[in-house]
Amino acid sequence: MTAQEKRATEENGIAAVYERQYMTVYRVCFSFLRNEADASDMMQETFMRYMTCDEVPAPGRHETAWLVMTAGNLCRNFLRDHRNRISPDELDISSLADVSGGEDAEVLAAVMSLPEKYKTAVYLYYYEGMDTQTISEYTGERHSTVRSRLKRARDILRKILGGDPNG
Amino acid sequence: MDNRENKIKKAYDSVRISEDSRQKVLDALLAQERKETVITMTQTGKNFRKKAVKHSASMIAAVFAAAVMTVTAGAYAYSRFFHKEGVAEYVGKETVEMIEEQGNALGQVAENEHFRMTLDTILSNGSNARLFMTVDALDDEAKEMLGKKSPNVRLRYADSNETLYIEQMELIDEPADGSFTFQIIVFSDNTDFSRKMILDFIDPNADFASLGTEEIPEEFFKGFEGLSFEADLSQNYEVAELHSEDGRLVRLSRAGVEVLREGAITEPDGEGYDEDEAPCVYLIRNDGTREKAEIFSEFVNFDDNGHTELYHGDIKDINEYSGVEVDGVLYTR
Repeated sequence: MTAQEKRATEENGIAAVYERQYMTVYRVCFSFLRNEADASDMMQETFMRYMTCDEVPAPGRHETAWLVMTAGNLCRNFLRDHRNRISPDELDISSLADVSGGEDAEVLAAVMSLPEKYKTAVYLYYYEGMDTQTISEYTGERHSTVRSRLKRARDILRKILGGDPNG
Repeated sequence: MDNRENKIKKAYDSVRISEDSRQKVLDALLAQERKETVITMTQTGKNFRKKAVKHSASMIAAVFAAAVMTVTAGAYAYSRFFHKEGVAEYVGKETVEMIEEQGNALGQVAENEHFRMTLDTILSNGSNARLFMTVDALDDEAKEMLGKKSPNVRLRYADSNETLYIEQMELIDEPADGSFTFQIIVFSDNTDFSRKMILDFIDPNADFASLGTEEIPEEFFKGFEGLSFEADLSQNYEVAELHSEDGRLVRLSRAGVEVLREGAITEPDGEGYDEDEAPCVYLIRNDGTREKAEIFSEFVNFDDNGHTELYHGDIKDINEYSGVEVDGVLYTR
């Protein structure tokens, strides 16, 4: 079955994929871009890429990992092209209150302040519950790279969020 | 799932998108889908076929095999870091400065027509060593190859060619523009760090792990000819050995606190060792005050002896400290 034929099936049609994945893609984009307008644009671009990709990922974890990685790459490119407009400075937690309804703003701010290269692995590991081997398989990144990034990200989060690693 | 994982998940859950934005994006995607359908129908009518130009892995391998490998340079040395930021990702900026000040920024370079390898620096306390290297792809084939896999590294004694076990190869960055810095960690009770060693690079597609310490077939070196370094892994920074009352040992050095533990540690499935279970470490200053060690990197040797390694980035001078406390056990000079 060609990519076009696959996408023509109900399961892989853009409306169905969007319905089951838009929040995943949006969360990732927001964690990079920190505002709704840009995150929505990159979310749209991510699904556009899905519509033209040569190999349609199978629904489920592969599809999630593909979309998360694509969203991450597009956001990194976007940030590179818009350095002057989007400040890399630490996120103002108060600005997050509107987004998160005031809950968990500190944790979210910490996650969003992580270096760009750690964010997709952190999302797949913590939110999607994938182990590092699975992330490596689906994203095509080396297992050691995934592990290293998670380890570094945890170190940073521990520093930001406090001494108690479980707190 | 622990508390922290729950909190992170909950934080992600709290991100919301407005219904207006959600609908706008969906509308745009559906409009695009309709447009694509029209274009596809038109193209099908004209017997249109899109050709994707991609280089397969086998093609790249063939290009490598067919190329005449000319070793253009041996090793030559510089006196400062070429890849300061890359190394700093692993050890922190302060330690990088210290390495430069002490003249340990090696900057040894070896290259052939495909790759340039730089041995940026070696940190050794005589019982473990960290080698920092940067690989740069010099042509498109090499760039594409690195985009898929990192080169395998073989470390061997110079005098016997016996291959050594490398504990871990750590990468933080995937290759960007065919260049990345990586760390090789060597620590084993059986390694003689005083002997000269040779580092070789091997085809990333070669199944090196299955070879063990046996001789590596020549074809595995194709594309990497001339990329060997003589490496001195002998101790190159000051180490203090501290003992507990019951005779246990930790080593304190500029690179960190090394805790030796008895008994095997089992690596859990999946994620691997959970550093949250790492011991709580305090440094005891000469005036008796305690400060919590800020551990930013940690490696655990999963051998029969259960050997834990902790790195600390802020010990400027080990002589400022008279002791270390690990999980409530005091170790003194």
